Amino acid sequence: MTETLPAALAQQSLEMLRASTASGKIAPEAEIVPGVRFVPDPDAGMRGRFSSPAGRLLELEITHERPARWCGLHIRLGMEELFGLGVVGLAARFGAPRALAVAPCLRSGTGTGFSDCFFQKQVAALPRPLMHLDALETDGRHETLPSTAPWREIVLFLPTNSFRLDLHDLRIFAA
Amino acid sequence: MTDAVPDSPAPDLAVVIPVWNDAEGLNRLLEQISQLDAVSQVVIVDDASDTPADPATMGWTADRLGADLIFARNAQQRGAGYARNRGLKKVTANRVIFFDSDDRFTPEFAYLMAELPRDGFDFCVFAHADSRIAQAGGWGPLAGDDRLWERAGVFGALSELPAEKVPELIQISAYPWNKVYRTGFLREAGICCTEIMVHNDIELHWLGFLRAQRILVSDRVAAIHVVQRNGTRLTNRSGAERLEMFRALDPVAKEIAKAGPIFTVPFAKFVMALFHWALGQLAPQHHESFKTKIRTFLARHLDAEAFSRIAAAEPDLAERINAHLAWQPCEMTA
Repeated sequence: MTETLPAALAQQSLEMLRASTASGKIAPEAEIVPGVRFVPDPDAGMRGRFSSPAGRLLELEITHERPARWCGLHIRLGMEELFGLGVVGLAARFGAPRALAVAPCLRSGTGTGFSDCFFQKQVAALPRPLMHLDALETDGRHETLPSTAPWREIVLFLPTNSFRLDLHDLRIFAA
Repeated sequence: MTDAVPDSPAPDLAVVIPVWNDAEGLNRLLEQISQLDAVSQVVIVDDASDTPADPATMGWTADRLGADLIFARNAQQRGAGYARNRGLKKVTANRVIFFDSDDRFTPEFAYLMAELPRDGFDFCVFAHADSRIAQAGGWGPLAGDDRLWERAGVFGALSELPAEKVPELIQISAYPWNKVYRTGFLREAGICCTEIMVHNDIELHWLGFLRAQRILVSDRVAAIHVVQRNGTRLTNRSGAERLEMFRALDPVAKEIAKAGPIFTVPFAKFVMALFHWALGQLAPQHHESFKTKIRTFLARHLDAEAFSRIAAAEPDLAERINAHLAWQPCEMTA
């Protein structure tokens, strides 16, 4: 499978995270590296810290003062046109001291907002991380995945309670 | 929004490698070290290999290695413990790891070294993979160690091991190559390997955990332990040299007694698992002698109070200990 140019933007952002050893408070909507940002429920009082160990993506510690409706990690994809592609996929290895699930989706911009197409499987984050692999077919079978969109993102829907999550690796591919 | 992180400083790590009849493995490991950019000094101690495993004869120089290169050779075979101790004396770097010629670093090792401080810690224990698990499609240590890591609940690329987790993690297999030590700690605390042919690393491991003031821990799988089934490496030895393990266990048992009741059960679990494993390795003609030594060891180091603690926490373990204590060699019971 050959990675095509459309996923390169996301891979570039992820590569910057891998190379980074930055750490700090999580600020809603602010990019921690170009193309990667957290979008929490503004009513939930999210507080969190991140660090980016060398060679890994992120270690996250997040708390919510009130029940949250969502907490998303957004990765800009820049893949406006799906024509000529068969799949958009991800490979992930996440860890968590207490098992939790992360729901990934491919978000496409629309004229009025956005449309979310969820991957079939959630990513299990376990104390001993496992490789997770999943892909969405782009042949028109998913109503929520338009073939053309002004922008796209991979959104990782994180738990909405308080949690610790380590993103050891994430690779996004399209072919 | 982000805190500034300084650039990685120059490497400051010595790798001490005992080698015996494994020039090929040593050459492979040196090749890997030369690409790591994390090592400042390599100390090789050849434990009287049939053909000297001299890195110079393999074309290795300090320039090619990217690190100072020291080679020493024992006139007669003394075991990996002696070789490691001899190598440690030559270390000038502030941090040191003991590594075996047939094991491998993973790419995570360089990342770990980039993050590990030069001072302010005594040692850092990191996760590893076992080749037997890797061959079965997994990635991690054998099941027993895996459970201990999980129970200890240590997590993340680098963090401090809380004191209350030490009794759990101390029970992992007593390998020397899954820890980066501050060289000064080993010297100040008087910790070294036992100079016996096998199990030379028990003292290093246990006394390290018991005497350290600050232990760091990383869940990075930074090394692969390569085990060749039926190979000639020490893990596969079945001779009387295994009976010497008590030279390593006795000093640890004495220190355990002083370290407090919280370590009684972990140490009892460790030694009983070790005895069970070693009995499986040991040639049958040594079993009687080994059981006598086990009985003597348990009787010497387990007082009634300690045994009561074990019985309360782990009744099955106490029963197994009791079976050893009650056992009599054939010649005495006939």
